[in-house]
Amino acid sequence: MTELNNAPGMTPTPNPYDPDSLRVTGDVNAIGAEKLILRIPVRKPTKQEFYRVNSDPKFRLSCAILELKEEREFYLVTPAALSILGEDVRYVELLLCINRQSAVFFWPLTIPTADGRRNSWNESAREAAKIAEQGWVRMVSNMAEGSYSVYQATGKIPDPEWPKKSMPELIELAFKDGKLIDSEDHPVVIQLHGG
Amino acid sequence: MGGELMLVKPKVYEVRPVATVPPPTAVLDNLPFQEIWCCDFEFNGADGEIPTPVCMVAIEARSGRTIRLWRNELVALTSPPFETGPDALFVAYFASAEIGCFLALGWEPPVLVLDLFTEFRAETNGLSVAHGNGLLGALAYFGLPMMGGDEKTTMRNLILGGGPWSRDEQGAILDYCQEDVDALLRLFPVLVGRLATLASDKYVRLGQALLRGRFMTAVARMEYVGVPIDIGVLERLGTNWDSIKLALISEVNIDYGVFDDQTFKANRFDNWLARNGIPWPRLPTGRLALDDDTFRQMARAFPEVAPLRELRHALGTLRLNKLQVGADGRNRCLLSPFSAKTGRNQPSSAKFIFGPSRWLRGLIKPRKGYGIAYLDFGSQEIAIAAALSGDPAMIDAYISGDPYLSFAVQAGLAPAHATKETHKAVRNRCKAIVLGVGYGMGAESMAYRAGLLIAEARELLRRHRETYRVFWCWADNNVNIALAGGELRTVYGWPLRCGAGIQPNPRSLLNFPMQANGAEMLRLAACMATEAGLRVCAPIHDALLLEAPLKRLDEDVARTKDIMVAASEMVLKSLQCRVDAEIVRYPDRYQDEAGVEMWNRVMNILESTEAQARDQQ
Repeated sequence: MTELNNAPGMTPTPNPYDPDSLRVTGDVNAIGAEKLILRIPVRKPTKQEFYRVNSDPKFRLSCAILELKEEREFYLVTPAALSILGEDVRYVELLLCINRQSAVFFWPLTIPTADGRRNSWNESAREAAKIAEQGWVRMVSNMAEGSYSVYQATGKIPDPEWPKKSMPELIELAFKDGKLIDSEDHPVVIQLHGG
Repeated sequence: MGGELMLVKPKVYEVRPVATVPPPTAVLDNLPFQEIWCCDFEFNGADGEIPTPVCMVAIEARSGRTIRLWRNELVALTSPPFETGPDALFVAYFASAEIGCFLALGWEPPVLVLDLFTEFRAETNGLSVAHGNGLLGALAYFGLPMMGGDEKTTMRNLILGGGPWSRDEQGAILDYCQEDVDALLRLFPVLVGRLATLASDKYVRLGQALLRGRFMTAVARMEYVGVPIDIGVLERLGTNWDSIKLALISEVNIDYGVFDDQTFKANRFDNWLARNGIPWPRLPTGRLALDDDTFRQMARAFPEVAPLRELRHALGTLRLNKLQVGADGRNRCLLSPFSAKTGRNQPSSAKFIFGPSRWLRGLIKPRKGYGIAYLDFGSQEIAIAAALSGDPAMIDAYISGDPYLSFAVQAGLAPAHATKETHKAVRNRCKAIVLGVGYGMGAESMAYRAGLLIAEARELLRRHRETYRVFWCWADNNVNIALAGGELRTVYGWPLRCGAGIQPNPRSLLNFPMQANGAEMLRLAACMATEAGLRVCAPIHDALLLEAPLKRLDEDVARTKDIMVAASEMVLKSLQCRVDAEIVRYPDRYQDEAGVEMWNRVMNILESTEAQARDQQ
């Protein structure tokens, strides 16, 4: 290496023959970015996506929802507003899901009714959700069988990276913008009552 | 009401004054050099030849001591007439030209070089520069006084005329030379002040500038050596090129029927594509995309297109008379260091033998008693991506020696016991994705390049993202930094500015760290190899072309390999890049694998053309 004459007391000369001393170390940029989740859709997994269900009980919520089928919108109904909507609500378990594109969504999976009536669509969906806690699955309607066919990926696919947020935060992202029905004054309630 | 007001936009030249330029004396006082010599040479010489110095002016920046020497005085000196040791700073604009004159005069190059061209490029890389990257452009950019462009052209023509010059003309040329040195003295404090006064960096940026200057010396040395060319064959090709072209067209056209005389007919090509069931990209107008990029990508996906692509390429780009070859049979041209945004060299493809016509590289031939070696970094982009992102899976893949097959195994696309032979197809698909990521390509380009369905390429790309999460997190963050108006830098400080008003391409931003750090790696290797006395003929993207006497060839190849590996470690720290060497010994010639078929075809035509000419005599 070429030695430079650095006399005592003088500012040392930067040495281009010692590149190590010139290396940029650490984070040269104070700025960066992380992907923010601004909204979480509530929907059933599509027939084309492989998905996983979060197995942590903290990330599932039994609740009542109202589904506006034409608008494909789901509303979370608070216990206080249940009596107003009556039979329009459906009791579901909201499962936190993620697909292979790392898109997060809540799947409202219908809870079996107390009267013991069986529904093969719901039962097969529940089985698919159970399997999806451990592996990547895809489910497709099978009209001939009257239930979902479930496909599990056999290749080696890494486990998903779940969002670093609490369940209340995730629920808020899913039902913000007026999608929480907690009184009879809610526009959707008024609409359903012919207002 | 009177006439309407018309808003006329005045013509504005972009001249960006620097807000905080320290006064020159303060800048000079702060610099840790005993002497600072700003220097410029005037020189001439035919294309491909070593420059012939005409005169030189050097001014010491603090004392104003001035040295003006005409050529007869220069050649009488055995060393520079000013201090060029480790206490002195040598300042020039495009210093490889000045150091080229040092070498032509037999002088030892300066130890510390600061090139104001490289620093202007670094200062503005990624930004738009209204008046170009020349000395006048740099002066205009900073709003500094400058001489007229017309005057410069007149004087340059006078110098290139080669003389003899009258006494008055000699004085005028020296004055003109001194004007450039005066310009250096104005520009120096502006550019260096910005490097040296950043206290937080503790001179690191100034040191990085000196490292770039060190490379300009390596460039001068490589330009001085040049690439050995078989000038006998070059002359024969030049003499017969028109006949060869016609013969090539008629030979290739038998299989395609797309040429009418020497004209390529798009409608005939359209019919040929339909007959062969090849889906070809089209322009928004519905016409076939006939640019070389499309041809190159489609030739990879559909090999039957390759001969036609080679021919079109050869006809379109080959201008043999532009190839710069000196009387000594060496291809010498401006290597154009730091011209690309990534900091890579960008020599003219027409003047440089390693331009895009790969078959023409068959002209490279070592002289008698010598050999050459093409030494390149193996999978350089992957090594950089792995090491700088710190992705453990990608590091493992690189260390395995076959990063493409490793990706296939890591992504669950091939079993652990898979080999290149047993899983060739899946390896090829994974190779397209791994290389495509290294070049910042999207799924669509990768699909075209590798002959994959777009959905398949998208799926493989997703698997790549899942397998190498750490890398993608790092890469996405780099893109975000740039898009947020930040600045990307290589490990030795080559920057890419991404400020307001710039519309960067996210794929180029993603690719920048791999390419720009690759350029750093090659620059370090070129510096160390040339300083070690090895005869490096040229840098080529991620490779060096070396020349040595046959008896020393293997030893020099081994030394160069060691140097390249050391350079890779300087950039990567946690990883070493593999270096592969292809050795050619006289009387063999260098051949690029992709160009062998075309070279053989051209040589056959050349020989039969010459035989016909002999028969006719």
